[in-house]
Amino acid sequence: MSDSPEHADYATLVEHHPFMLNRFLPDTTLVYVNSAMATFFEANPDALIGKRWLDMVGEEERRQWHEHYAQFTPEAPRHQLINCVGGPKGDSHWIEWTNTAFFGDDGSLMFIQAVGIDVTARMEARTALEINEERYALAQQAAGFGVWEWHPERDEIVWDAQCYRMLGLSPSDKPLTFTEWLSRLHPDDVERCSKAVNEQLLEGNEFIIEFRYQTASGYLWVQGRGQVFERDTSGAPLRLIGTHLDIQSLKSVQQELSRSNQELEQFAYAVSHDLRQPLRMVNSYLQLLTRELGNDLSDDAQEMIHFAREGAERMDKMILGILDYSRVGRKTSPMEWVDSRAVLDDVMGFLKPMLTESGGHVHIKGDWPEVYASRDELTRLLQNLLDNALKYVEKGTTPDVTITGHQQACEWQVDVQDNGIGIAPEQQDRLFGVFTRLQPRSRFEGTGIGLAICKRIVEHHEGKISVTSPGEGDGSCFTFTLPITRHYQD
Amino acid sequence: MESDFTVLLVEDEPADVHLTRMAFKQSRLLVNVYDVGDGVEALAFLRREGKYHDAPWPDIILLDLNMPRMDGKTLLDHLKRDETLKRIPVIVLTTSEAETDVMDSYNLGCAGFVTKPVDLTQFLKAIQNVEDYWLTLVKRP
Repeated sequence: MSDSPEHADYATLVEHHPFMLNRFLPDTTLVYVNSAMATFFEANPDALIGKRWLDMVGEEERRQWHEHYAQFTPEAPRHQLINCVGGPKGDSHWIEWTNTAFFGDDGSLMFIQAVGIDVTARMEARTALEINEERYALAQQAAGFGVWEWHPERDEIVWDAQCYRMLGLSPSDKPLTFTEWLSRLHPDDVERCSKAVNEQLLEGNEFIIEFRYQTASGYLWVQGRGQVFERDTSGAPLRLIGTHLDIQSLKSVQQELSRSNQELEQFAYAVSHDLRQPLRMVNSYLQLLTRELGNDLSDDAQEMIHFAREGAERMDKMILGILDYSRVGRKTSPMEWVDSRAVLDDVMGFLKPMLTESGGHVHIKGDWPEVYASRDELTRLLQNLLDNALKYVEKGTTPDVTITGHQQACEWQVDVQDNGIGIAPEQQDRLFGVFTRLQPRSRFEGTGIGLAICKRIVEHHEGKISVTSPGEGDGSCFTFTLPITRHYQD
Repeated sequence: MESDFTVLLVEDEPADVHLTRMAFKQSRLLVNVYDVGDGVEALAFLRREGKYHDAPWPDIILLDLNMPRMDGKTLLDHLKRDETLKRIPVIVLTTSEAETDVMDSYNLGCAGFVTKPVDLTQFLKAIQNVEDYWLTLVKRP
């Protein structure tokens, strides 16, 4: 070795380098260690030099070293090795060694120069990550959901193994295209789902869709959830991640429920038909009696017949009300995107005769967005509420009603404020029950089914309805909300 | 009894039979109303079987849906499959307002569907309208 200052500088450099540097003979006898290495072992360099480090390590490291050592040849003199090295206090560190062998002219291995980097922190992070991944995988297995990732601009959908397993398919690394994905859906679900995907995935952020997927043995109901995680500068989605969940058993229960609802509807229909027939007889023959007897009837007798007929007619209306009530959510128009303002305008048209007659006013305010609703039912809801607001006023008061829409983050709220007779606080809970009437019939005609139907409609839309009123004589405000989370279920 | 027209009323409810007969009695026309209580009887009447061996050929049939033994829809189906009987216009006359009943009846080939009004005056008017249209206005086979 030369004594030139340049070489002396290299020696200093090596000596103070934070990596552990050392040289050892083929039998692992250390011939040089820098201060970083000595510090690691909390020893004087002299205490290390001349010792075979192989004697200082465990069985596993010795075996590992022999395998590693066999790789060195003049053509391939450099190899890496990560091992766990015990410090003097019994704590172990992960060290990544870059070992370079130096060979003599005759090709024999003279010594090995080792550069060691402490990678404990990195290894521990990796272990933590592995534990996390394992925990996640177990949770996923327990919950039974599959995970997918979609890159719209590359037209690539990647499924994890569970996505395939769920459908009884063997996992594949080949990504699906969007068209392939659609082709696996039940034909009846294709239009709904591709519409949902186009609107929701590309414009919204989160979505939930339910569809039937083709499996080896028929179709399976799956719920897909997802979210856009990355968009490009123009806002186009780059990356979506989501889950698939097997909801077959849930769907079976739903189908059972809908079948039982259908039976109930048939029952309600049969009952109403069978009850109305005799009622019609009572009413018609009372009328016939009056006709036949005519002037022979005393005023009292006429009044008696009048009450009997009125009772029959009222009962007929109630039966029709039950029928209406039982139809909500089943025999009305399907859920779809509806222009709420157009619906309100229709309702205003229906109310025109009533407005003309009473001289009343309806003020329309606020937001009237597109809402996901059954058109028939929304019409019915607005009509019942406005009809009530215009009807229940003190004699001599001109009805003055304000209907206001409020678009909020995840719901649409509608307030119907009137200047009517108001509701005593203790009565407000009873208001939405079937056949509940708070006013004597002599004052206001009605069957008591209107608000019950409103409540049922709102609940069918997964919303809420309530009333606030300072008390009798002070007007009331009916409020309902409809969620605007975008559901795409069948 | 000499009459201009013959109506077969298929109806199991005597009170309704009475009302319907009354309505035709108020008519300007001479209408002879025959009534039977269910589909089986109606077929026997139309085919002149047993006690109906000298039954007349009706101009129209007024048919209730809800009946014992053979209901209105089943009878309608039988009639429209019969080469001869299918030519008689059948008007369904029922308490029902159900969509499914209206749809089913027209699918089976009824000529009209009338819901019986609850009010007597309106009921009489409804029968009057049936008579005006089916017995006076239209040309029957």
